[in-house]
Amino acid sequence: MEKYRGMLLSLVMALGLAIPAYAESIVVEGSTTVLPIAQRAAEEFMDKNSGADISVRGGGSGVGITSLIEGTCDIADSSRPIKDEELEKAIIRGKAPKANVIAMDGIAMIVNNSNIISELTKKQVKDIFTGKVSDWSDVGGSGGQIVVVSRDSASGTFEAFGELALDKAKVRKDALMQASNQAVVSVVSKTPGAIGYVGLAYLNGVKALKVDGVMPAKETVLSKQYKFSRPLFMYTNGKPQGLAKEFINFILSAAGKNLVDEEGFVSIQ
Amino acid sequence: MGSFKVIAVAALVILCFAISTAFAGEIDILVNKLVEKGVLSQGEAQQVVTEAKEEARTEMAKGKNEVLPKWLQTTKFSGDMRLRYQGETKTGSKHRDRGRFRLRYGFQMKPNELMKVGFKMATGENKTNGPEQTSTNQSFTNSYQNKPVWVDQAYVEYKPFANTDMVFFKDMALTGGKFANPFYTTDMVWDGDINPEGGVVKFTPAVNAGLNPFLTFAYMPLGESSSDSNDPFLVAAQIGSSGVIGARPYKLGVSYFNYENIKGNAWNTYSANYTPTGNNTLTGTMLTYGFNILEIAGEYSPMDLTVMGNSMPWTLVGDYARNLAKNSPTNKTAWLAGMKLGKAKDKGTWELFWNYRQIGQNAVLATINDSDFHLGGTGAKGNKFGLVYAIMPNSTLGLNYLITDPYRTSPALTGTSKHIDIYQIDWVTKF
Repeated sequence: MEKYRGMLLSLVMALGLAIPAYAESIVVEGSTTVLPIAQRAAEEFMDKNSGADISVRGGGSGVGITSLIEGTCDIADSSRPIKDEELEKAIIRGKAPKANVIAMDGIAMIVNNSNIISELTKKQVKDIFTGKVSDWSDVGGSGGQIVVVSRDSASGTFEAFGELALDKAKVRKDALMQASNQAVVSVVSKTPGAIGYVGLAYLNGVKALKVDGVMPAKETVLSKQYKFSRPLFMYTNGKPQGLAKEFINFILSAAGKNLVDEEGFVSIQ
Repeated sequence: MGSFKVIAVAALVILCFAISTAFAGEIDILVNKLVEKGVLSQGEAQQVVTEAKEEARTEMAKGKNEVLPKWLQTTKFSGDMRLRYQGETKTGSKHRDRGRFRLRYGFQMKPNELMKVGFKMATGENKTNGPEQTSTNQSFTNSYQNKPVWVDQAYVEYKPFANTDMVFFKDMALTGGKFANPFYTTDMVWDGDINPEGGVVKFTPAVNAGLNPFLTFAYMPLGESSSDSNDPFLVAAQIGSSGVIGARPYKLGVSYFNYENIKGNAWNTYSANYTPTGNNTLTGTMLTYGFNILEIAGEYSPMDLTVMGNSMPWTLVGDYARNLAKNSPTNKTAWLAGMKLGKAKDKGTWELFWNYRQIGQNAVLATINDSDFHLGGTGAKGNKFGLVYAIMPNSTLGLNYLITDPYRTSPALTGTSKHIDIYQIDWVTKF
């Protein structure tokens, strides 16, 4: 009987080690661009792993990275690389931010559906957003004041756009600053003279423009032909461990890539 | 030995950075080869390259943190150098030409997350009692004699609630020492070179993108005398806001500058040797009137103008000041109206400005307003034009032209009671 009891105990222990233990919870916080991926991935992951508890919040890339530095989240979603000053702050606080690229995205230039413009050069985009050009007739349009719509400064998309499209120049002061991609789409879709920029997943109801002759699309983003392409990140403190690691691996798996594509982003493939 | 160590570790960090940059370049080449051979997809290639670069940045930051002292990591150095030709023509006087330079340099450091310490040195003429408070110019003079530098700013700033979520107090800043002028104003009231002394509390609550209110309170001593307990000082408050009205940017500030113990005081003691004419005086340089100044300053950009194919903001500027002191000063109002076009920032960009002003003799304090307009002081009116061109990164070439006349001075002022033309050609390089 002692012999069987030992075998039974060994069997239970072996099973215990073989089955992933997800009696763990993590907080994912940050970019509103990455938010749809994180939310849907969390739902599907938790469906498959009943013990896992993944709490997902938006707030913007800066908010997520600050939370990671302060230790109040486990994964920081970001649509831009961590800034030097954030990295410095993290190191001083004993953190070691690790960038995990989970997808690619293109920042699409969008105008109202009634606009006859179908493409702009990178220089024209910069001139419009920095205020050098303020009438559509100056960039081949049919005339009328250009209404510039931008993301607010807490947004990673704002930072990435500033770097990729504006060479770090400031957006003109009278730009209408919006708190989300969806808000940018909403303003542009209702304002005939408006121009804005959003992630690839937000092109419904507006017209996307070619930039330097290239349309924002999965192929052109992956090949970097489209100039306003960017990686999307999930930052962890050091190499991801435990549930955070499993969650990121899930997003990079075949199932995860499918959901990334379905959400309108570009999966890594 | 200490400074040698700092230089050595700084050189090490720079070397590490160069190596890591070269390493990142090699990764690019290697990964591109793997994509060409079909080993990696384009997406995987971007993932590998991006993560490797980010990893290198993190390692660099770790290395920097380990070898450089904390104070050096948070210190930012900056400065600017200006070369100026200035020509002055006064009616009935000989024409004057001056070559001048101005050097300002300093640093800001953060001893912790809530505090900032600033220090700045600047050139300035060495007069009998030291430099002028309204000018950091140094003329080419005195047979190549070496020229002095002075403490231009020395302050500490403390944001006690910076790490909280308190909307109103989060950005509240307490500043003490000798610091940049905390008020939104124009040079009709405050010369741009003035760095007041004392203490300031400033609130800049984040409301929304279209409204950025600011509220400032200050206590700024003007002088201290061991033989007089009634030292002059300034108590001031300003409320204002910047943002957009109908998608067009604006800024507005309403201020009250309440000078105490200034009337009838030995003014010379409190203004070094710089006593520009203008304000009525009793004997010598003792002021006849008190100064309690209400100022309303603002700017608004109603539209963009397209000039030579470039669209640039056109901004209207205005300022109004009135001395509300109770003892009925005469000529107690000053006003300014003007415009700005463009902004000289990136190479090839330019800006143009013009303003007209009338400064009543006792409207503002003559020792602290623009020292160029009518060669400083009050009781003057006229135009100020300027054109600045960004000739290369961080460098501008500028031309200023000031045409001024006396304005309602009683009794008539000596020295500056004439028509004065001033033209300045400036080369400014920031670093």
